[in-house]
Amino acid sequence: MKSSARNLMLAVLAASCLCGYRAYAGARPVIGGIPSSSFFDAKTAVGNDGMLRLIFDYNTSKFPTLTYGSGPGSALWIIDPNGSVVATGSPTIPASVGSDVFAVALLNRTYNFLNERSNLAIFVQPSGNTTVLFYYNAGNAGLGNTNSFATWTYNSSGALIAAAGPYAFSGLQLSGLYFDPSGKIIARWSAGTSAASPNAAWVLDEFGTILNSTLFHGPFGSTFLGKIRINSSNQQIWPFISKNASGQYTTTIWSFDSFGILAHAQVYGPF
Amino acid sequence: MVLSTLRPLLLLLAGAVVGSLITFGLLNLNRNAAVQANAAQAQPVPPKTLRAPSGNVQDEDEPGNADTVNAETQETANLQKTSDSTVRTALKIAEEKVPMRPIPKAKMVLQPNGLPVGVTQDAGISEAYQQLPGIQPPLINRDGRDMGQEAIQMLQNRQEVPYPGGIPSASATSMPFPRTVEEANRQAQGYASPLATP
Repeated sequence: MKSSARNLMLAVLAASCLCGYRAYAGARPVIGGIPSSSFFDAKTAVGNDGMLRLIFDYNTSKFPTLTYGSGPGSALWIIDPNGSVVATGSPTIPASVGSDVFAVALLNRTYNFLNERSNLAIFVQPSGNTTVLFYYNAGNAGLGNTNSFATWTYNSSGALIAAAGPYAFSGLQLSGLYFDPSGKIIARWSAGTSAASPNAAWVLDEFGTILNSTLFHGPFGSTFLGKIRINSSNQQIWPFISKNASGQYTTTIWSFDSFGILAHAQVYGPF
Repeated sequence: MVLSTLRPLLLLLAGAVVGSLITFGLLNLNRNAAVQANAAQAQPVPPKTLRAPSGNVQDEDEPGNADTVNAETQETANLQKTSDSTVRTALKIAEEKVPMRPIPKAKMVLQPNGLPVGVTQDAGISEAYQQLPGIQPPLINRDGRDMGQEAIQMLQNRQEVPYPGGIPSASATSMPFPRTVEEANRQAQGYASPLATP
């Protein structure tokens, strides 16, 4: 009886050591993400006022004929919880912003969006304004060729109250362009198309005002930048990942001040 | 014996089923053709009126309601051309009971401080532009004007310009990942022009 209990304890100990070792050695920061997540999302959003914002794309014909570009463009509608339209955006978004039919690969399956979608994303700000983010030349990969962007801001009555951009710079690509959950826009500029290309980033507010910008950092070889986040003070947070020869990962977190100057760097691992 | 008695009845039933199927198929074909013709004629323009929710039925005699015509009503009228008289009647009744109403247009409402609703005093103002010489702050509507044409022109006027302060070469040699903040800032300053240095 005593021998059985001892064997059992030894087995449990061996299993816990093995599992613990595996979890420990495999620690890898999950810092990557879709660099244009807002672009792929539905063009609908509900504000704090309970109103739904919805984008209509006007297409002159159906897939596969891409004729959005020759159509009237897109329109913003603001709909109350009873389903009544309380306002429509003015002016209509011109079709020159472009559109794409794209596919998303997930778990070895490809999901096709059967209709073309205008190259834009929306966000309802806490103020009730709706910010529209335009992705130029988005392509079917979302940010494949995007090298410029612009913003429009409609107020809660559907009137256009701000316009910014387009921002386009020779030699630069946008390797990240999305709404932060706070409604701020993060634009990540890359000098090159490699994952290791040097990067700089902007934070913009609901009107398209640039709140801060960083200098270019990199290239850092096999150390890669993940998805940039911001905190409530609009300070940028850059997560980096690198892998050593043993296959272990090092995580580095950079925090910038509200002016875009690197203020803190913290290294974790390898674990 | 029983089978021979039922045979005429079974034949009659089978005939009725086949006849019903043919009739249904013909009607469906006719309706599809009408819908396709309507779809081809449909104009790709935003609808200008909206069907009121059934719980919010407006008075048919209310000024403006009876004369409202739009793409949706046009489409409805086209549908009435189908040979299916039942559908036509149902549509007519529905149209009479649920009138159209105009979609509200954007209104420019001003705050007591004179700025349009949604615009704050400090909108478009940021110190970041001092670090990005040549980049224009956003166009902010401060007087309630219709800035549609200006905004559309801006959108369509996309021009690539050099990035303020210059950018690293895409083929630049990789540098060691900096160990300290000072080292990282020193590396980055190498790309920045004096103007772009904060």
